[in-house]
Amino acid sequence: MKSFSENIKELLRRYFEGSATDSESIKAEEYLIRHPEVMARYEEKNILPLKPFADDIFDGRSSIRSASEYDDEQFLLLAAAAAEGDLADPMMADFLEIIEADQERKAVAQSFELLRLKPGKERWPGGKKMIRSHSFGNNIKAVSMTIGIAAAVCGLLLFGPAINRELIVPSQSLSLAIPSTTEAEANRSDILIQAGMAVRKVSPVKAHESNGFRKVSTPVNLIPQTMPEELPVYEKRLVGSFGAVLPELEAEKYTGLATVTPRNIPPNQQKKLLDNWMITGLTNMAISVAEEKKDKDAVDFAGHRIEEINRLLGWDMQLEKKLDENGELKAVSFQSGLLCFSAPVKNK
Amino acid sequence: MTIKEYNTAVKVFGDPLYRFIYRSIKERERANDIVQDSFEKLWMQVTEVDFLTVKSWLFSTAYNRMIDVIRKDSRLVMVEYYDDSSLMESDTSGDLNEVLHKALERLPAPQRAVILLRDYEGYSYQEISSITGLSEAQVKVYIYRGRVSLRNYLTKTGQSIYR
Repeated sequence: MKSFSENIKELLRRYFEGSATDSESIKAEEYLIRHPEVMARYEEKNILPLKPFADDIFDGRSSIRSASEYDDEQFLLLAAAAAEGDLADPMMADFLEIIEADQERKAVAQSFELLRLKPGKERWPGGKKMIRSHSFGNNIKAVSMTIGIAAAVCGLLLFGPAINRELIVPSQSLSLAIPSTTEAEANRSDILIQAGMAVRKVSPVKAHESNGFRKVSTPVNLIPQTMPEELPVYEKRLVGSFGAVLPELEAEKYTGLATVTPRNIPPNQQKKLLDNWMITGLTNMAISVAEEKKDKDAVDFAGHRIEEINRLLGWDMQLEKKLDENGELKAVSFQSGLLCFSAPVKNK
Repeated sequence: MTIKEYNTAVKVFGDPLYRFIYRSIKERERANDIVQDSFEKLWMQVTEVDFLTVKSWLFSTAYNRMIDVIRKDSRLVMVEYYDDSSLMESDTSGDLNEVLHKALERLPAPQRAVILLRDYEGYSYQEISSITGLSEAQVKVYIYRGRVSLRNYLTKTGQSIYR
């Protein structure tokens, strides 16, 4: 059978190793508070696992039950533990008994509550140096945007006719609100698409006979009485295209763009105008993205990327920078066989 | 952790970390170096560290770096142990917080660190234990004995610590 001394040593060893149970920890702390010399010895060692103590460190006293038996050093440790809120019930009872019986000790105990350090106002001088630039991330986004738009346009070129074949609706499903508008007038109309929910007006910077854009002069007020039933499917494809190529976009935020509805679709112009409607959606999307992610470096990066795509795929996309009188970038314009738009750039 | 989160960590935790290290070693330049080293290390591991745990990661990294610096620098080791004989006769000029910080400088480095983590950042024993690598029991002992030492210093220098 182990002696009391051995039991205490074993208890403290387990306590300082962190393997003691809660009840064992309470006993160990009680013992340490009552034996500051033992605590000091553990503290000085500051190395775990602890080496065995010499037998002489234990004085053989049994647990102290009388409050008056706490000497000053023991009491100070007890008060420090109490101020931290660490005393378990039996110790707390002892502590309260002591301070109620001795006003001087009560004042000492209360003084521990004042011993709290407050942080100063020193500022870290090196903070600004450690901030990392987001430019790389922006460039990546710019590339994603450019590639996304290019991929979407490419998708339109490749799959657009197939989609249209699926979605061509009987001409009688659309009737014109203004019958006087002739087909010829519709053909001559400069409107790209009167996008009912488009949030930005598309302003091509340059007329391209080959890309289907013409300068807008007089909108044609053609309002279909009914909409193609398949149109929501078409819209979903459009949203899907955006989502696939521009994954960073928040779907809900751009739903409004995707649900642009073609109001002015002369029956014999459905294919062409639906294509234009898709392109308009893309253009609005591109402008939205460009305005949100405006960044001079990103524009340069996107320009290089477009050159690379042109070289690799034999395309003819152009991203032009518009400079002000000070040589500062103020806008960009994008042109391709199908798509052109301009967007302002705010310098940082 | 993203770049944005890393930058947030620099802005939010940079100053508290600097204060903790500066108050521990009382050398601005070296404290600056230690904090910068810690953020450099964080940047190197930015994808591996979760933003939710970045604060304790930073304190732990900076603490270990500081202990390395203390071990290598004899000047800093000089203030490792509390020495009653060098107490000033009276130190009642400053406010209590200032005097407490002066008293703190006289504590052994581990005691200083655990008290700063406890008071400045409000860390629990368990959190301090994980930052410093000390057991919870040791953390408690250091805090109790540190508080007693602070109080003894204040008493001996004539600072009023009674309400």
